[in-house]
Amino acid sequence: MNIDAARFRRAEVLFHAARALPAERREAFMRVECGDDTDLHVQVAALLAAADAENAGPATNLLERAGSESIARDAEAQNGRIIGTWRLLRPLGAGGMGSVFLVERSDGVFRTQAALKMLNPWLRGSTSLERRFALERQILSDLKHPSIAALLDGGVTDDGLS
Amino acid sequence: MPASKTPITQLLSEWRDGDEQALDRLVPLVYSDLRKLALRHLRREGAVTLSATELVHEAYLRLMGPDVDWQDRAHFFAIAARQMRHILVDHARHKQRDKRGGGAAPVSLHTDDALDSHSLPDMLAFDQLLDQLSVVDARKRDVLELHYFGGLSYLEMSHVLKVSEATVDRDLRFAKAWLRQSLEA
Repeated sequence: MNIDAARFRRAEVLFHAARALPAERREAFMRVECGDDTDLHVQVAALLAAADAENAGPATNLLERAGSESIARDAEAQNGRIIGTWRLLRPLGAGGMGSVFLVERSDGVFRTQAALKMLNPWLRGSTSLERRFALERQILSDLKHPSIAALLDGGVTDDGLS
Repeated sequence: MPASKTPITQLLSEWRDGDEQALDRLVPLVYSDLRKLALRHLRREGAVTLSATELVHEAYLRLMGPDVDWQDRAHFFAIAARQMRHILVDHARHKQRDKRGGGAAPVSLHTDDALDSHSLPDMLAFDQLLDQLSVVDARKRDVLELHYFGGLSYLEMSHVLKVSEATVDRDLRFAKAWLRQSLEA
């Protein structure tokens, strides 16, 4: 079986466009875009369903496992990087949302260590996640309690990482 | 640092510095070690389950040693992933030939006992789909190969394929959906 290259491209474009929409608006979008081409409509709908099934799948499969190991490796690769006035010393933990690093002041003004949490790179550009991350940050900065970590700083790096 | 360099590490840096012949010497070394590991594993597991990415990782630790920078590591994983695909497909073909008429012996890509095998591709069907995919979009074939057989991270794939992590993410999302849909069709 050969894949029709033009249809493959078209399906890919529609797939990404539909995924960027809220679930309830996808069907209307596809009807408009596919028009009479029911084959295309069916195919893209199946691809979207497959992608949703992939996301809902058990976290025990190969990809998820490979994912968590590789997230930790990516975090390691950031050692020594300077973000704002902070130098990344080593990763403290990594998960699906982001990674937490041990950092120290890099400007030599005074010596202090802190924890820095960074959103995972492939989540950047996802407005809802970035909003959630910003909200989490705001809540944390409003909390003042000896047992709760105090928020020192926050922002977006040059390459768009929160 | 140079004192702790293994022959593989040395060959990898030479290849990265532009010496194409280094790759020709590198691939057989990686292949023979990976194959040894894989066959041992396949015998022990009764040819049913196999964790491709764990084997790649094991080979990496044996051949490269600990203190390797992440770019070298990414390239090693990329080479190993492609070899891993060949090893597993070869093995699946042999099994099928042995059982002549008895149907394919699926070698699933497992890492966990609790896994339901329906969600995972039969090796020979998977191999064919990767070949078909490479005709229309070679990079999609690459991301699937690197991801399934090598367990490369987004950063590692973006480095090896020379595209952004966002592109890796889009490619992988679509390619995985396409793969899943094609296997179910």
